[in-house]
Amino acid sequence: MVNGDSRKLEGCRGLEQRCGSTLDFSTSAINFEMIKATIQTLPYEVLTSIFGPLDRPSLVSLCFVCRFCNEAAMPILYKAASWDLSRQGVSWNTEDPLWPAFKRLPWLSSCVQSLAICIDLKPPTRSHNGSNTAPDWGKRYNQVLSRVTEEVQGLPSIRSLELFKRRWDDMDAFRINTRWFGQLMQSLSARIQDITLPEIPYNLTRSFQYLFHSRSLTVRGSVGSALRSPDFKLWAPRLKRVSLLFNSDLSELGGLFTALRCLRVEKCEDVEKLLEAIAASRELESLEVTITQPHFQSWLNARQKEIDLPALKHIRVRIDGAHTDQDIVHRGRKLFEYITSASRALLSASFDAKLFLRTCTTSEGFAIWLSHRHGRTLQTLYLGHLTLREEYIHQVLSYCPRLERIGLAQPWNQLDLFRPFASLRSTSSLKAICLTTTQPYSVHQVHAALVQNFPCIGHLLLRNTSAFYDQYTLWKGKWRFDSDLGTALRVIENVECSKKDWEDLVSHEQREFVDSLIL
Amino acid sequence: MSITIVTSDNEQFCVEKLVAQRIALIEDMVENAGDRPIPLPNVTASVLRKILEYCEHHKNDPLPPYDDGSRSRTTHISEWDQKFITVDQEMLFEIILAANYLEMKPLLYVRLNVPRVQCLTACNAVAGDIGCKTVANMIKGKSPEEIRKLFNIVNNFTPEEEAQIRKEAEWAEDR
Repeated sequence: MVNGDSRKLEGCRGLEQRCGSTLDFSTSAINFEMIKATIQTLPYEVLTSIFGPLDRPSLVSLCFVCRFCNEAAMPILYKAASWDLSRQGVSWNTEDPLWPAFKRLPWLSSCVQSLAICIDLKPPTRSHNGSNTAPDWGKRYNQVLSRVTEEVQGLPSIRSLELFKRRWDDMDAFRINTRWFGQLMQSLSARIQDITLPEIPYNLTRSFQYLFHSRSLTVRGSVGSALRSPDFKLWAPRLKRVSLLFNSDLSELGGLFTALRCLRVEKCEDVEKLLEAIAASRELESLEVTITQPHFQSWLNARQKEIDLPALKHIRVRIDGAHTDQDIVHRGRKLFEYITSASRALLSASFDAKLFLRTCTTSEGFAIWLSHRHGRTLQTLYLGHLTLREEYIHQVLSYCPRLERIGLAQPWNQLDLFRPFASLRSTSSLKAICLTTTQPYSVHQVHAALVQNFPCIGHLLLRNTSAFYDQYTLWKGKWRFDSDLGTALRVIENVECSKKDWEDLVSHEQREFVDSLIL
Repeated sequence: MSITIVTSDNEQFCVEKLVAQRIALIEDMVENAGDRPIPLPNVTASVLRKILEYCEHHKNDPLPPYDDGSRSRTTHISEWDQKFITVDQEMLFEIILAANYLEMKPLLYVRLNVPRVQCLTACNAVAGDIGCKTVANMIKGKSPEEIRKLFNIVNNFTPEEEAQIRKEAEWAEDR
């Protein structure tokens, strides 16, 4: 796969290494400058390093560019494959998308490390007189599933499997042939390290007995009462990464997650159950939770001892609940005190809640406590809607010498955008700022404030929040090569940003950590 | 203490040993070289100058812990490195080729993954794989035609081959 030029490079390198031992200058006779450096002169392994981090659309583009790029991009593209079985339904065959390439290039099947399958085949509707329009549908469906199992078994490097639903909304139940799923899991057994499901119907829980080798579970929809099933309780102590992205009942799990390193729970309704579930997770490194019902007064009143989570490095808490601002911040602080007290090296701490009155005192108390307790190690401190006045910003920064990313809100009565920037200017390590404001600043105003205070900033995220909707904008600092002048110019660009981009950027470091966890 | 490096165009560079040792290949050669100059017949003076600028800036950074074959999917480049790598395309590829030849993983690509705790600071400081990340950032979000134009690549597929690739890649455009 290495092209001619890179072979020349390898040849030169070998020659040079030989002369390296004797220091013979005669090898300089090789006229290396004859080869003009282009992307096509790069060795194959370098090219795969370049293509490795690219997203799927970019990899698809590369496959079409030329044969050279195609050869390097194809194995990377097929590392994470997906397959929509619902498109062909029961008429599916291996000539349909994804599988033909494996026939033409059999080695490609060993590149597939993760596979996502849309398996939601809907049976045909019944006719008016109640008779089934396709009486053999069930039989054909089962045949297709058997062949699916065979094809998936033929992927020797598969480690991650996701079943997903495409067309149904959240209210539709996820229907799955549990017998088939059990057989599939049994056949793949030790190979699957990471499983993602759209939901967990209770009758699927018996298949958990085949998943004991898996170390990661992600459920995008409801888990119902599946986590209380005996099979899950046997599996739980082996799990290292759990992501529950919908309402989740965590009761009866106290002390079971003993190997857990990353936990993400969206829409957590019962904080006490969550805390009980992680109480024995001494290896927990990342916790992300969105609390929808912050009723943990009884737990607060009980004044239990803090949880011992010494390995915790990343914590992200969001509270969505109808409470007063002060109450939310008070509860948030208590939660952080309880969870992070034993953490030895917290790298990122993030707290957000929709606050309206923007009272400073409680927020500032929380920020000071957090930075004083963990500032020595913190690289990211994101405080979302929590407001800080200048003197407190200075104090927080003085406790956090390694801070690279900060997020906070501007006091509601502060009209001058230069003021928060001027306060943050006291630290030189800052690379990214997330600022929540109530004022609708113009692009010109922001640009002027940035150029004056942070000419070298990497990212500025601005969230203009109002009673009706939030507006997000992102500024990126870049170096650009000017071919006419032959010099590098510093530019600040305003790029499009959505709420999702904001969330991604704010939690980027933590998500990257979670994704890179070795199972 | 310093060592002398000679480039392919016979230019000599007197380099502080601490700086030169960031280059794995030179570190290996220093032992055998004694006081003699070290030849780099595959690197021109203009490229070596850039590489030494990088080594000088990162000379006190901790080296990446070890190479486990996995890479971060991030394409983030630190501020200084971004400015350093803002060069014309030919020089960019010259740097990547030279970094590969000189076995300079931080400049070419750094292994970010494990042990994460120790590695995080090191990686932020080393700000590795800048050459590859820069090219990746140039490719990101572009159509095949835009990529061809950007790197001056000729499409050498036949229409039949293109049709085959289109059929095979259909799955990748679904989700």
